[in-house]
Amino acid sequence: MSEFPTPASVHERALSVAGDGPAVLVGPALDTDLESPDVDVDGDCYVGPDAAAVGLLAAALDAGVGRLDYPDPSLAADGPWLVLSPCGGRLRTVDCGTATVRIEFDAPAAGSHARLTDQRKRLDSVLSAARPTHDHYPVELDDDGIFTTGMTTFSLESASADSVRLRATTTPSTTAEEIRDRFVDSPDVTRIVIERTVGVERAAPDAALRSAVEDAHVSVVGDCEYAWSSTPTALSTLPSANKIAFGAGTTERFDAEAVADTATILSKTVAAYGGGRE
Amino acid sequence: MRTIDADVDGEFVRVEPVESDGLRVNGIPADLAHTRKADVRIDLVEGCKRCFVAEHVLGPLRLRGITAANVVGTVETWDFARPEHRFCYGADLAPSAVVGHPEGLPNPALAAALGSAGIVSNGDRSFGTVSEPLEYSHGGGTIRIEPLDPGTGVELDLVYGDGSFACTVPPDGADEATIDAVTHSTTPYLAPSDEEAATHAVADVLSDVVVIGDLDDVRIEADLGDAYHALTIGAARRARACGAYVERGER
Repeated sequence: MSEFPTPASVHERALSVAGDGPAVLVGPALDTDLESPDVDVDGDCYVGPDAAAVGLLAAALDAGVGRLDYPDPSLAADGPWLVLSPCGGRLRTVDCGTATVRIEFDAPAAGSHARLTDQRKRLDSVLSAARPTHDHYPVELDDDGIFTTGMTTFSLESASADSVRLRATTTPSTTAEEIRDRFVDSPDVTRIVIERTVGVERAAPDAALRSAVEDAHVSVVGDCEYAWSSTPTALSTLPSANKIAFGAGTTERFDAEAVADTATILSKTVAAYGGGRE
Repeated sequence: MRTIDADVDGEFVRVEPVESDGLRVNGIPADLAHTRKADVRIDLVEGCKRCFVAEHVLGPLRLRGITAANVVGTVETWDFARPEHRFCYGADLAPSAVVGHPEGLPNPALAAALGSAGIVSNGDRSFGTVSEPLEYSHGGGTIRIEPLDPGTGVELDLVYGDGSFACTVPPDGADEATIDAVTHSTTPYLAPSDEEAATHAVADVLSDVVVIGDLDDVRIEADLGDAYHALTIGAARRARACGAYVERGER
Protein backbone atom coordinates (compact mmCIF):
# COMPACT_ATOMS: atom_id res chain seq x y z
CA MET A 1 0.00 0.00 0.00
CA SER A 2 1.43 3.37 -0.97
CA GLU A 3 2.10 5.98 1.69
CA PHE A 4 -0.53 8.66 2.19
CA PRO A 5 0.88 11.67 0.33
CA THR A 6 2.13 14.68 2.25
CA PRO A 7 0.51 18.05 1.51
CA ALA A 8 3.83 19.30 0.11
CA SER A 9 4.09 16.41 -2.34
CA VAL A 10 0.49 16.93 -3.46
CA HIS A 11 1.19 20.59 -4.19
CA GLU A 12 4.41 19.79 -6.04
CA ARG A 13 2.81 17.15 -8.25
CA ALA A 14 -0.17 19.39 -9.02
CA LEU A 15 2.11 22.09 -10.43
CA SER A 16 3.22 19.81 -13.24
CA VAL A 17 -0.22 18.71 -14.51
CA ALA A 18 -0.84 19.69 -18.11
CA GLY A 19 -3.11 18.23 -20.73
CA ASP A 20 -6.60 18.19 -22.20
CA GLY A 21 -10.10 17.57 -20.94
CA PRO A 22 -12.73 19.44 -19.01
CA ALA A 23 -11.34 21.98 -16.58
CA VAL A 24 -11.04 20.80 -13.00
CA LEU A 25 -11.02 23.41 -10.25
CA VAL A 26 -10.23 22.51 -6.65
CA GLY A 27 -12.67 24.90 -5.00
CA PRO A 28 -11.14 25.26 -1.52
CA ALA A 29 -7.69 25.80 -3.06
CA LEU A 30 -8.86 29.18 -4.39
CA ASP A 31 -8.44 30.78 -0.98
CA THR A 32 -5.60 28.62 0.26
CA ASP A 33 -1.84 28.83 0.03
CA LEU A 34 -1.03 25.20 -0.52
CA GLU A 35 2.69 25.86 -0.37
CA SER A 36 2.18 26.09 3.38
CA PRO A 37 -1.29 24.73 4.12
CA ASP A 38 -2.88 24.67 7.56
CA VAL A 39 -3.30 20.92 7.69
CA ASP A 40 -2.02 17.93 9.63
CA VAL A 41 -1.74 14.34 8.47
CA ASP A 42 -3.31 11.97 11.01
CA GLY A 43 -2.66 8.49 9.66
CA ASP A 44 -4.54 8.29 6.36
CA CYS A 45 -6.43 11.51 6.92
CA TYR A 46 -5.88 15.22 6.32
CA VAL A 47 -7.13 17.23 9.29
CA GLY A 48 -7.42 20.99 9.68
CA PRO A 49 -8.81 24.07 7.96
CA ASP A 50 -7.13 23.20 4.63
CA ALA A 51 -7.82 19.45 4.75
CA ALA A 52 -10.34 19.50 1.90
CA ALA A 53 -8.10 21.64 -0.32
CA VAL A 54 -5.25 19.14 -0.01
CA GLY A 55 -7.49 16.06 -0.18
CA LEU A 56 -9.39 17.20 -3.26
CA LEU A 57 -6.15 18.15 -5.00
CA ALA A 58 -4.78 14.69 -4.19
CA ALA A 59 -7.97 13.17 -5.65
CA ALA A 60 -7.60 15.14 -8.87
CA LEU A 61 -4.05 13.82 -9.22
CA ASP A 62 -5.15 10.24 -8.52
CA ALA A 63 -7.88 10.61 -11.14
CA GLY A 64 -5.23 11.53 -13.70
CA VAL A 65 -7.06 14.63 -14.92
CA GLY A 66 -5.50 16.44 -17.82
CA ARG A 67 -6.59 20.01 -17.19
CA LEU A 68 -6.16 21.02 -13.58
CA ASP A 69 -6.67 24.76 -13.12
CA TYR A 70 -4.11 25.13 -10.39
CA PRO A 71 -2.68 27.17 -8.75
CA ASP A 72 -3.89 30.18 -10.78
CA PRO A 73 -7.17 29.22 -12.44
CA SER A 74 -8.59 31.11 -15.39
CA LEU A 75 -11.86 31.78 -13.64
CA ALA A 76 -13.35 33.83 -16.47
CA ALA A 77 -13.00 30.97 -18.95
CA ASP A 78 -16.06 29.24 -20.36
CA GLY A 79 -17.13 25.90 -18.94
CA PRO A 80 -17.46 23.07 -18.59
CA TRP A 81 -16.06 23.27 -15.07
CA LEU A 82 -15.77 20.37 -12.68
CA VAL A 83 -15.51 22.05 -9.29
CA LEU A 84 -14.18 19.76 -6.61
CA SER A 85 -15.67 20.62 -3.22
CA PRO A 86 -16.13 18.85 0.12
CA CYS A 87 -19.76 17.90 -0.60
CA GLY A 88 -19.89 14.66 1.37
CA GLY A 89 -20.55 12.68 -1.82
CA ARG A 90 -23.33 14.95 -3.09
CA LEU A 91 -23.58 17.23 -6.12
CA ARG A 92 -24.14 20.97 -6.02
CA THR A 93 -25.41 23.56 -8.46
CA VAL A 94 -26.56 26.13 -5.90
CA ASP A 95 -24.66 28.24 -3.38
CA CYS A 96 -26.61 30.54 -1.10
CA GLY A 97 -25.85 34.22 -1.60
CA THR A 98 -25.15 37.07 0.75
CA ALA A 99 -26.39 40.61 1.26
CA THR A 100 -25.98 43.35 3.80
CA VAL A 101 -28.98 44.94 5.43
CA ARG A 102 -28.63 48.36 7.11
CA ILE A 103 -31.58 49.36 9.26
CA GLU A 104 -31.59 53.05 10.10
CA PHE A 105 -33.50 54.67 12.94
CA ASP A 106 -34.72 58.08 14.04
CA ALA A 107 -32.14 60.22 15.77
CA PRO A 108 -31.52 58.75 19.22
CA ALA A 109 -32.96 60.45 22.29
CA ALA A 110 -30.89 63.06 24.06
CA GLY A 111 -29.13 61.99 27.23
CA SER A 112 -26.92 59.00 27.64
CA HIS A 113 -29.40 56.86 29.61
CA ALA A 114 -32.24 57.45 27.16
CA ARG A 115 -29.87 56.87 24.26
CA LEU A 116 -28.73 53.50 25.63
CA THR A 117 -32.31 52.48 26.38
CA ASP A 118 -33.35 53.33 22.83
CA GLN A 119 -30.40 51.48 21.37
CA ARG A 120 -31.14 48.38 23.43
CA LYS A 121 -34.81 48.44 22.50
CA ARG A 122 -34.08 48.88 18.81
CA LEU A 123 -31.43 46.17 18.72
CA ASP A 124 -33.63 43.72 20.62
CA SER A 125 -36.47 44.32 18.20
CA VAL A 126 -34.29 43.83 15.13
CA LEU A 127 -32.68 40.68 16.49
CA SER A 128 -36.08 39.28 17.38
CA ALA A 129 -37.34 39.92 13.85
CA ALA A 130 -34.15 38.40 12.45
CA ARG A 131 -34.68 35.02 14.11
CA PRO A 132 -35.69 32.28 11.67
CA THR A 133 -39.24 30.98 12.00
CA HIS A 134 -41.17 28.32 10.13
CA ASP A 135 -44.72 27.04 10.41
CA HIS A 136 -43.71 23.39 10.63
CA TYR A 137 -40.00 22.95 11.38
CA PRO A 138 -37.95 23.58 14.56
CA VAL A 139 -35.65 26.02 12.79
CA GLU A 140 -34.58 27.75 16.01
CA LEU A 141 -32.81 24.50 17.01
CA ASP A 142 -31.43 23.76 13.56
CA ASP A 143 -27.69 23.84 14.27
CA ASP A 144 -26.97 21.55 11.29
CA GLY A 145 -28.77 23.75 8.77
CA ILE A 146 -31.18 21.00 7.73
CA PHE A 147 -33.90 23.59 7.26
CA THR A 148 -32.21 26.98 7.60
CA THR A 149 -29.84 26.34 4.68
CA GLY A 150 -32.85 27.08 2.47
CA MET A 151 -34.07 30.12 4.37
CA THR A 152 -33.17 33.79 4.39
CA THR A 153 -31.20 34.15 7.62
CA PHE A 154 -29.45 37.03 9.35
CA SER A 155 -26.46 37.58 11.59
CA LEU A 156 -25.45 40.77 13.36
CA GLU A 157 -22.47 42.63 11.94
CA SER A 158 -22.61 45.88 13.92
CA ALA A 159 -24.92 48.15 15.87
CA SER A 160 -24.83 51.83 16.74
CA ALA A 161 -27.25 54.37 18.17
CA ASP A 162 -28.80 55.11 14.80
CA SER A 163 -28.41 51.90 12.78
CA VAL A 164 -28.02 48.13 12.86
CA ARG A 165 -26.11 46.28 10.18
CA LEU A 166 -26.93 42.64 9.42
CA ARG A 167 -25.41 40.06 7.12
CA ALA A 168 -28.10 38.16 5.25
CA THR A 169 -27.77 34.72 3.72
CA THR A 170 -30.03 34.58 0.69
CA THR A 171 -31.77 31.92 -1.37
CA PRO A 172 -33.31 31.91 -4.86
CA SER A 173 -36.62 32.99 -3.32
CA THR A 174 -35.23 35.84 -1.22
CA THR A 175 -36.64 39.24 -2.17
CA ALA A 176 -35.88 42.75 -0.99
CA GLU A 177 -39.56 43.12 -0.12
CA GLU A 178 -39.40 40.04 2.13
CA ILE A 179 -36.43 41.51 3.97
CA ARG A 180 -38.02 44.95 4.35
CA ASP A 181 -41.27 43.41 5.61
CA ARG A 182 -39.31 41.59 8.24
CA PHE A 183 -37.89 44.72 9.85
CA VAL A 184 -40.19 47.56 8.87
CA ASP A 185 -42.28 47.28 12.04
CA SER A 186 -39.31 47.51 14.39
CA PRO A 187 -39.51 50.72 16.46
CA ASP A 188 -38.21 54.01 15.02
CA VAL A 189 -37.11 52.53 11.67
CA THR A 190 -36.69 55.22 9.05
CA ARG A 191 -34.94 53.39 6.24
CA ILE A 192 -33.83 49.88 5.27
CA VAL A 193 -30.97 49.62 2.80
CA ILE A 194 -30.26 46.24 1.19
CA GLU A 195 -27.13 45.59 -0.81
CA ARG A 196 -26.59 42.29 -2.55
CA THR A 197 -23.03 41.02 -2.06
CA VAL A 198 -23.15 37.65 -3.81
CA GLY A 199 -26.24 36.67 -5.78
CA VAL A 200 -27.78 33.23 -6.10
CA GLU A 201 -27.68 31.71 -9.54
CA ARG A 202 -28.23 28.04 -10.19
CA ALA A 203 -25.50 26.51 -12.33
CA ALA A 204 -26.68 24.94 -15.58
CA PRO A 205 -24.27 22.14 -16.49
CA ASP A 206 -24.90 20.78 -19.97
CA ALA A 207 -26.95 17.60 -20.19
CA ALA A 208 -24.01 15.36 -21.04
CA LEU A 209 -21.99 16.67 -18.11
CA ARG A 210 -24.88 16.20 -15.70
CA SER A 211 -25.49 12.71 -16.93
CA ALA A 212 -21.81 11.80 -16.64
CA VAL A 213 -21.39 13.14 -13.12
CA GLU A 214 -24.71 11.72 -11.87
CA ASP A 215 -23.93 8.26 -13.25
CA ALA A 216 -20.48 8.40 -11.67
CA HIS A 217 -22.03 9.21 -8.28
CA VAL A 218 -24.55 6.38 -8.54
CA SER A 219 -21.80 3.91 -9.31
CA VAL A 220 -19.56 5.07 -6.45
CA VAL A 221 -21.87 6.25 -3.63
CA GLY A 222 -25.14 4.65 -4.75
CA ASP A 223 -27.09 7.83 -5.43
CA CYS A 224 -26.78 11.28 -6.97
CA GLU A 225 -28.15 13.61 -4.32
CA TYR A 226 -28.08 17.38 -4.77
CA ALA A 227 -27.52 19.73 -1.84
CA TRP A 228 -26.80 23.43 -1.42
CA SER A 229 -23.94 25.26 0.21
CA SER A 230 -25.11 27.69 2.90
CA THR A 231 -22.35 30.09 1.89
CA PRO A 232 -20.91 31.24 -1.45
CA THR A 233 -18.07 29.03 -2.68
CA ALA A 234 -15.80 28.74 -5.71
CA LEU A 235 -18.83 27.55 -7.67
CA SER A 236 -20.41 31.00 -7.41
CA THR A 237 -17.13 32.66 -8.32
CA LEU A 238 -17.06 31.13 -11.80
CA PRO A 239 -19.02 33.27 -14.28
CA SER A 240 -19.75 30.34 -16.59
CA ALA A 241 -23.08 28.57 -16.02
CA ASN A 242 -21.71 25.28 -17.34
CA LYS A 243 -20.32 23.98 -14.06
CA ILE A 244 -21.09 21.59 -11.25
CA ALA A 245 -19.54 20.99 -7.84
CA PHE A 246 -19.01 17.62 -6.22
CA GLY A 247 -16.63 15.63 -4.07
CA ALA A 248 -16.50 13.52 -0.94
CA GLY A 249 -15.24 14.51 2.51
CA THR A 250 -15.70 17.57 4.67
CA THR A 251 -13.86 20.86 4.90
CA GLU A 252 -11.72 19.99 7.91
CA ARG A 253 -11.44 16.22 7.61
CA PHE A 254 -10.53 14.41 4.41
CA ASP A 255 -9.45 10.79 4.66
CA ALA A 256 -8.07 8.23 2.21
CA GLU A 257 -11.57 6.94 1.42
CA ALA A 258 -12.74 10.45 0.56
CA VAL A 259 -9.72 10.88 -1.71
CA ALA A 260 -10.40 7.55 -3.41
CA ASP A 261 -14.14 8.18 -3.83
CA THR A 262 -13.59 11.65 -5.23
CA ALA A 263 -10.91 10.36 -7.60
CA THR A 264 -13.14 7.56 -8.87
CA ILE A 265 -16.14 9.85 -9.37
CA LEU A 266 -13.94 12.36 -11.18
CA SER A 267 -12.24 9.84 -13.44
CA LYS A 268 -15.55 8.17 -14.35
CA THR A 269 -17.08 11.57 -15.07
CA VAL A 270 -14.22 12.64 -17.33
CA ALA A 271 -14.20 9.27 -19.10
CA ALA A 272 -17.93 9.41 -19.80
CA TYR A 273 -18.06 13.09 -20.67
CA GLY A 274 -14.96 13.28 -22.78
CA GLY A 275 -14.26 16.74 -24.26
CA GLY A 276 -14.11 20.07 -22.62
CA ARG A 277 -13.26 23.61 -23.50
CA GLU A 278 -10.54 24.26 -26.01
CA MET B 1 -56.62 -5.29 -7.69
CA ARG B 2 -58.40 -2.37 -6.05
CA THR B 3 -58.42 1.06 -7.61
CA ILE B 4 -60.63 4.15 -7.58
CA ASP B 5 -63.33 4.97 -10.11
CA ALA B 6 -62.23 8.61 -10.63
CA ASP B 7 -59.47 11.05 -9.68
CA VAL B 8 -59.18 11.75 -5.94
CA ASP B 9 -57.61 14.94 -4.59
CA GLY B 10 -55.52 14.87 -1.44
CA GLU B 11 -53.37 17.68 -0.12
CA PHE B 12 -50.39 18.29 -2.41
CA VAL B 13 -51.26 15.25 -4.56
CA ARG B 14 -53.95 13.84 -6.82
CA VAL B 15 -54.56 10.10 -7.23
CA GLU B 16 -55.58 8.74 -10.60
CA PRO B 17 -57.12 5.33 -11.36
CA VAL B 18 -55.14 2.92 -13.54
CA GLU B 19 -56.08 -0.19 -15.47
CA SER B 20 -53.25 -2.48 -14.39
CA ASP B 21 -52.19 -3.48 -10.89
CA GLY B 22 -49.52 -1.67 -8.95
CA LEU B 23 -48.95 1.74 -7.39
CA ARG B 24 -46.95 4.47 -9.10
CA VAL B 25 -45.85 7.91 -7.97
CA ASN B 26 -45.53 10.51 -10.71
CA GLY B 27 -45.48 7.52 -13.07
CA ILE B 28 -42.62 5.73 -11.31
CA PRO B 29 -43.42 2.19 -10.14
CA ALA B 30 -43.36 1.81 -6.35
CA ASP B 31 -41.16 -1.25 -6.11
CA LEU B 32 -37.72 -2.22 -4.87
CA ALA B 33 -36.10 -1.83 -8.29
CA HIS B 34 -37.07 1.85 -8.37
CA THR B 35 -36.23 2.63 -4.72
CA ARG B 36 -33.04 4.68 -4.77
CA LYS B 37 -32.93 6.37 -1.39
CA ALA B 38 -34.10 4.65 1.78
CA ASP B 39 -32.97 6.21 5.05
CA VAL B 40 -34.85 9.19 6.43
CA ARG B 41 -37.24 9.02 3.46
CA ILE B 42 -38.01 7.00 0.34
CA ASP B 43 -37.22 8.34 -3.13
CA LEU B 44 -38.26 6.48 -6.27
CA VAL B 45 -36.17 6.94 -9.42
CA GLU B 46 -36.76 6.03 -13.05
CA GLY B 47 -34.37 7.45 -15.63
CA CYS B 48 -34.29 11.23 -15.17
CA LYS B 49 -37.46 11.21 -13.03
CA ARG B 50 -37.38 11.15 -9.26
CA CYS B 51 -40.10 11.50 -6.64
CA PHE B 52 -39.44 12.32 -3.03
CA VAL B 53 -40.99 11.11 0.25
CA ALA B 54 -43.07 8.46 -1.51
CA GLU B 55 -43.86 6.70 1.78
CA HIS B 56 -46.24 9.46 2.80
CA VAL B 57 -48.61 8.65 -0.06
CA LEU B 58 -48.01 4.90 -0.36
CA GLY B 59 -48.86 4.38 3.33
CA PRO B 60 -52.32 5.98 3.12
CA LEU B 61 -53.08 4.07 -0.08
CA ARG B 62 -52.38 0.73 1.62
CA LEU B 63 -54.31 1.86 4.70
CA ARG B 64 -57.29 2.17 2.32
CA GLY B 65 -56.53 -1.10 0.52
CA ILE B 66 -55.77 0.58 -2.81
CA THR B 67 -53.36 -1.54 -4.86
CA ALA B 68 -53.58 0.15 -8.27
CA ALA B 69 -53.24 3.91 -8.80
CA ASN B 70 -50.92 6.66 -9.91
CA VAL B 71 -50.15 9.47 -7.45
CA VAL B 72 -49.43 12.83 -9.07
CA GLY B 73 -47.70 15.61 -7.14
CA THR B 74 -49.46 18.97 -7.42
CA VAL B 75 -47.21 21.37 -5.50
CA GLU B 76 -46.17 24.38 -7.58
CA THR B 77 -44.39 26.62 -5.08
CA TRP B 78 -40.98 26.22 -3.50
CA ASP B 79 -40.31 25.87 0.21
CA PHE B 80 -36.53 25.77 0.32
CA ALA B 81 -36.54 25.04 4.05
CA ARG B 82 -37.33 21.50 2.91
CA PRO B 83 -34.16 19.63 1.84
CA GLU B 84 -36.17 17.82 -0.85
CA HIS B 85 -37.17 21.11 -2.45
CA ARG B 86 -33.54 22.22 -2.46
CA PHE B 87 -32.61 18.93 -4.13
CA CYS B 88 -35.30 19.45 -6.79
CA TYR B 89 -34.25 23.03 -7.49
CA GLY B 90 -30.60 22.03 -7.71
CA ALA B 91 -31.38 19.17 -10.10
CA ASP B 92 -33.79 21.26 -12.19
CA LEU B 93 -36.82 19.22 -11.15
CA ALA B 94 -40.25 20.72 -10.37
CA PRO B 95 -41.51 21.00 -6.77
CA SER B 96 -44.29 18.57 -7.71
CA ALA B 97 -41.65 15.84 -7.56
CA VAL B 98 -42.00 16.10 -3.76
CA VAL B 99 -45.16 14.25 -2.73
CA GLY B 100 -44.53 14.26 1.02
CA HIS B 101 -46.65 16.41 3.30
CA PRO B 102 -44.77 19.51 4.57
CA GLU B 103 -45.84 18.75 8.16
CA GLY B 104 -44.47 15.22 7.96
CA LEU B 105 -47.93 13.62 7.97
CA PRO B 106 -49.05 10.62 5.90
CA ASN B 107 -51.46 12.87 4.01
CA PRO B 108 -54.62 12.77 6.15
CA ALA B 109 -56.64 14.60 3.50
CA LEU B 110 -55.76 11.95 0.94
CA ALA B 111 -56.74 9.15 3.30
CA ALA B 112 -60.04 10.89 4.06
CA ALA B 113 -60.81 11.51 0.38
CA LEU B 114 -60.04 7.89 -0.50
CA GLY B 115 -62.48 6.83 2.20
CA SER B 116 -65.37 8.34 0.31
CA ALA B 117 -64.15 7.43 -3.17
CA GLY B 118 -65.73 4.79 -5.33
CA ILE B 119 -63.67 1.59 -5.40
CA VAL B 120 -63.29 -0.69 -8.40
CA SER B 121 -62.15 -4.17 -7.49
CA ASN B 122 -61.35 -7.34 -9.41
CA GLY B 123 -59.30 -10.45 -8.78
CA ASP B 124 -56.38 -9.98 -11.10
CA ARG B 125 -53.77 -8.92 -8.60
CA SER B 126 -50.77 -11.06 -7.90
CA PHE B 127 -48.80 -10.34 -4.78
CA GLY B 128 -46.03 -11.77 -2.69
CA THR B 129 -45.41 -12.81 0.87
CA VAL B 130 -42.75 -14.65 2.86
CA SER B 131 -42.63 -18.42 3.02
CA GLU B 132 -40.99 -18.44 6.43
CA PRO B 133 -40.16 -15.95 9.21
CA LEU B 134 -37.46 -13.45 8.39
CA GLU B 135 -35.43 -11.32 10.78
CA TYR B 136 -33.26 -8.39 9.83
CA SER B 137 -31.27 -5.77 11.76
CA HIS B 138 -29.86 -2.44 10.64
CA GLY B 139 -28.94 0.90 12.19
CA GLY B 140 -29.92 -0.08 15.70
CA GLY B 141 -33.31 -1.42 14.64
CA THR B 142 -34.65 -4.94 14.22
CA ILE B 143 -37.59 -6.28 12.22
CA ARG B 144 -39.30 -9.67 12.03
CA ILE B 145 -41.67 -10.58 9.21
CA GLU B 146 -43.64 -13.81 9.33
CA PRO B 147 -46.31 -15.24 7.05
CA LEU B 148 -50.03 -15.18 7.89
CA ASP B 149 -52.92 -17.11 6.41
CA PRO B 150 -53.98 -16.04 2.92
CA GLY B 151 -56.38 -13.12 2.97
CA THR B 152 -55.40 -11.95 6.44
CA GLY B 153 -53.66 -8.76 5.35
CA VAL B 154 -51.07 -7.16 7.63
CA GLU B 155 -50.57 -7.21 11.38
CA LEU B 156 -48.20 -4.61 12.75
CA ASP B 157 -46.60 -4.34 16.17
CA LEU B 158 -44.15 -1.44 16.13
CA VAL B 159 -41.88 0.11 18.75
CA TYR B 160 -40.09 3.44 18.42
CA GLY B 161 -38.10 4.53 21.47
CA ASP B 162 -40.51 4.43 24.40
CA GLY B 163 -43.58 4.42 22.14
CA SER B 164 -45.45 1.56 20.53
CA PHE B 165 -48.44 0.97 18.27
CA ALA B 166 -50.15 -2.20 17.08
CA CYS B 167 -52.91 -2.59 14.51
CA THR B 168 -54.22 -4.77 11.70
CA VAL B 169 -54.68 -3.72 8.10
CA PRO B 170 -56.89 -6.18 6.20
CA PRO B 171 -56.62 -6.39 2.39
CA ASP B 172 -59.45 -3.88 1.90
CA GLY B 173 -58.08 -1.38 4.39
CA ALA B 174 -57.84 -0.53 8.08
CA ASP B 175 -60.62 0.72 10.33
CA GLU B 176 -61.33 4.46 10.48
CA ALA B 177 -59.83 4.94 13.95
CA THR B 178 -56.53 3.42 12.85
CA ILE B 179 -56.43 5.44 9.65
CA ASP B 180 -57.21 8.64 11.54
CA ALA B 181 -54.56 7.96 14.19
CA VAL B 182 -51.82 7.04 11.73
CA THR B 183 -52.41 9.80 9.19
CA HIS B 184 -52.53 12.50 11.89
CA SER B 185 -49.23 11.40 13.45
CA THR B 186 -46.06 13.26 12.56
CA THR B 187 -42.85 11.76 11.22
CA PRO B 188 -40.40 10.78 13.99
CA TYR B 189 -38.01 13.66 13.29
CA LEU B 190 -40.78 16.17 14.02
CA ALA B 191 -42.98 14.12 16.36
CA PRO B 192 -43.49 15.48 19.89
CA SER B 193 -43.45 11.97 21.41
CA ASP B 194 -42.22 8.45 20.72
CA GLU B 195 -45.83 7.28 20.89
CA GLU B 196 -46.76 9.53 17.97
CA ALA B 197 -43.63 8.47 16.07
CA ALA B 198 -44.54 4.79 16.49
CA THR B 199 -48.07 5.49 15.25
CA HIS B 200 -46.75 7.38 12.22
CA ALA B 201 -44.39 4.49 11.47
CA VAL B 202 -47.34 2.29 10.53
CA ALA B 203 -47.70 4.25 7.29
CA ASP B 204 -43.96 4.02 6.62
CA VAL B 205 -43.77 0.27 7.25
CA LEU B 206 -46.82 -0.38 5.08
CA SER B 207 -45.21 1.69 2.33
CA ASP B 208 -41.84 0.01 2.52
CA VAL B 209 -42.51 -3.62 3.39
CA VAL B 210 -46.01 -4.17 1.99
CA VAL B 211 -46.24 -1.86 -1.05
CA ILE B 212 -42.64 -1.45 -2.21
CA GLY B 213 -41.45 -4.78 -0.83
CA ASP B 214 -44.60 -6.56 -2.05
CA LEU B 215 -44.97 -8.59 1.15
CA ASP B 216 -48.62 -8.97 2.15
CA ASP B 217 -50.44 -11.39 4.44
CA VAL B 218 -47.65 -10.90 6.97
CA ARG B 219 -47.13 -10.05 10.60
CA ILE B 220 -44.50 -7.36 11.10
CA GLU B 221 -42.84 -6.77 14.45
CA ALA B 222 -40.22 -4.07 14.55
CA ASP B 223 -38.16 -2.08 17.03
CA LEU B 224 -37.31 0.89 14.85
CA GLY B 225 -34.11 2.90 15.09
CA ASP B 226 -33.32 6.21 13.44
CA ALA B 227 -33.57 6.53 9.65
CA TYR B 228 -35.51 3.27 9.72
CA HIS B 229 -36.35 3.10 6.01
CA ALA B 230 -32.97 1.42 5.60
CA LEU B 231 -34.25 -1.26 7.98
CA THR B 232 -37.63 -1.76 6.35
CA ILE B 233 -36.46 -1.66 2.75
CA GLY B 234 -33.43 -3.72 3.74
CA ALA B 235 -35.72 -6.41 5.15
CA ALA B 236 -37.75 -6.53 1.94
CA ARG B 237 -34.57 -6.87 -0.09
CA ARG B 238 -33.33 -9.56 2.28
CA ALA B 239 -36.54 -11.53 1.74
CA ARG B 240 -35.63 -11.82 -1.92
CA ALA B 241 -31.94 -12.43 -1.34
CA CYS B 242 -32.53 -15.31 1.07
CA GLY B 243 -35.32 -16.90 -0.95
CA ALA B 244 -38.10 -16.24 1.56
CA TYR B 245 -40.10 -14.13 -0.91
CA VAL B 246 -42.80 -16.12 -2.73
CA GLU B 247 -45.65 -15.24 -5.02
CA ARG B 248 -48.86 -15.93 -3.14
CA GLY B 249 -51.39 -15.56 -5.92
CA GLU B 250 -54.25 -13.30 -6.79
CA ARG B 251 -56.97 -11.58 -4.84
